[in-house]
Amino acid sequence: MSQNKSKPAPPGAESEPTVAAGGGSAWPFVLLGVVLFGCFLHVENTGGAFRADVYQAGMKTPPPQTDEPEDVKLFKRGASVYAGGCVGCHQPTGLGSPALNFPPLAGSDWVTREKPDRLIRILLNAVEGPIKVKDVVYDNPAMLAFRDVFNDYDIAAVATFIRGNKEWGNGAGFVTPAQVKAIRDGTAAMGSQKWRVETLEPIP
Amino acid sequence: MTTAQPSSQTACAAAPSVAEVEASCRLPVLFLAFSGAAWLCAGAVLALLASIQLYQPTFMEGCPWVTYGRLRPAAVNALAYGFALQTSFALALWLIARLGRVELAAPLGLTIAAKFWNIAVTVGVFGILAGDATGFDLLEFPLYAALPIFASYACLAAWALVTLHQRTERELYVSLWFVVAALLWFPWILSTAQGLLLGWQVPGVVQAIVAGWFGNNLLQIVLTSFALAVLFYFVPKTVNRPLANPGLARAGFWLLLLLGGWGGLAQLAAVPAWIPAVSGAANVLVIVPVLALLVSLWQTADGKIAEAWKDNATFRFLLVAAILLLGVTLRTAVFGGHWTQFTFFATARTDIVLLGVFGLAALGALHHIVPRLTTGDDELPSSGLADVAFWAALLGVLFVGIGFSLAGFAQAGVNADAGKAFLKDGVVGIAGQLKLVTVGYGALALAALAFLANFGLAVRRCCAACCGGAR
Repeated sequence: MSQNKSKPAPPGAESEPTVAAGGGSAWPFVLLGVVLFGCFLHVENTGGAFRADVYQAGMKTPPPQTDEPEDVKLFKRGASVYAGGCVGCHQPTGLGSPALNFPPLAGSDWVTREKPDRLIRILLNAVEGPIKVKDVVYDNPAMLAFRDVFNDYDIAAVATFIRGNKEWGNGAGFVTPAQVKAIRDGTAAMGSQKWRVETLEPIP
Repeated sequence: MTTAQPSSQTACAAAPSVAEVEASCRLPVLFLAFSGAAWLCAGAVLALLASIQLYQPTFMEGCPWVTYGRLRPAAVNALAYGFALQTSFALALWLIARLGRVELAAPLGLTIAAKFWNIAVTVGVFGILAGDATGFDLLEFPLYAALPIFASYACLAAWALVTLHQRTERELYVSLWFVVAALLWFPWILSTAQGLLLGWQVPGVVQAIVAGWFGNNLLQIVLTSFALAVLFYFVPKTVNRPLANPGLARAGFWLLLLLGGWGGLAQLAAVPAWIPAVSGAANVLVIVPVLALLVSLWQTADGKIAEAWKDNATFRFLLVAAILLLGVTLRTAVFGGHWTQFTFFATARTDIVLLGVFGLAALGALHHIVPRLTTGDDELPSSGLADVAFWAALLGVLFVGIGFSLAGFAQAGVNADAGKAFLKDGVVGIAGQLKLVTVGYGALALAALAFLANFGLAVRRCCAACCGGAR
């Protein structure tokens, strides 16, 4: 108010309300500051860091994707297992290295046959001796047994990855950790003994 | 907000007398006031019928026009646009004319625009009952009613602002700050919301945000501002004192505009988490301006409240409206979070602001304005009917507000407890609270009828006294 009218208003409905002189208080702003502090805490704690993709109060990042099918998660996990334990010999292309006596996985019937039982056994205990892959005979004792290296989930994951890798031209079905566990338990007596083609061939 | 130019002698000399000012108000303000009260009655009856269906699902079954999904939006929109906004135009025009000491520009044009507003609201309510509702809270009118609403509003507000521009009392009193803010705020939110929802047709989640933003702004800024304009006009006038501490009022005014529009989205689901977080913070922050404004009023009336309560019908309405404003603000700030999400708790807020804070303040103001414009007295002819209107409106608002709030709490308890049965405890189990709501709407309809009867008496007395003469 640029002009304060403090003269007493005459009584009656004809008169209009007037404004007292002076006035102005600081307490609303002090109170505002105090409440604002609490509000900042509230927004910090429940505001999802102002991200457009956080919908859950109390979270700062979106929750991990849980709606992927199990085989997709296995495949993704298998890719990293493969990159850690297999890629050195079998190569990123899955073609192995015929010159160094490493057999291919891409297009190999040992990998992509309907049942994964042979593949799981090879992954657990490895295979040695001459083995014919895609009409070429390889004989390399260097394959490692992964029984004590990877758990059931990682074995299933890497088996899923190499069986279903479309970039390699493989299109076989995924492998579950339960299948791995069944075979691991069933072949526990083998210890560190490796498979040979003759012992594997009776397996379907 | 204020002009440096003081009220000059020449302006005072040119100023019309109070009688001339009120004569120019007579036609449009009485028309708006009467139509508003009639819509209050109609809306309360519609809401009453809808509330019965909440615990008596077979009530009026078989006819799609009167199912809950159409009756309730029809009732809320009739109350919001037919009663609340229409009555607020009456208040705005009267306050501008009185406080600006100016005759209304184009009273006949204002009356015609008000007539069109009523036609549009009628078309909208029947459109909702016919099944054309848009489905957005407080924006249910179909486009063919929403566009005429906006057009008639534009005429009403334009003439109101022209009148304001022509005022002879250059200084803007506190009430006029609120009137101008609300008059300019409403077309902004209405055009934005209608444009985005019905014209642009924004996708899913954004719709809920836009509709929630509009609904909150309508209640928290527009209707609360009109209620505050009435409070700041009548409280100093009734106790016959100047307004104490206008600086507090100014701080409250600006903070309300700054903070009020952010609330209302605290209970939205399926939106990014920062929206309900910020909105919930705003619901708490808005306590500060509400407190500042109410303290300013309280300092003005302190010591004379009991006396004014006894002597003045208007003041009783205003006192309850002020208490309800504080109550609904605290209630939303404390309980308006996730806990009461998806319950009747939010419904209660709409009804308390619409019918309690604004409704009681407006009815109180009309108990002064209508006799001024008809018989020339300060009170309506029948003080008995005024008492009935006050107590019925008070009980109605309390019953509706408390009934819906308690139902909301009961439902929140059911939602929070997996051991409780949704249907048994959350739907059938709240029948008692909802019956209270039905009684409340009945009382509100009675209050509107009592006011209309008093209105009729005043008009009759006026006509009998002054056939052939001015007043």
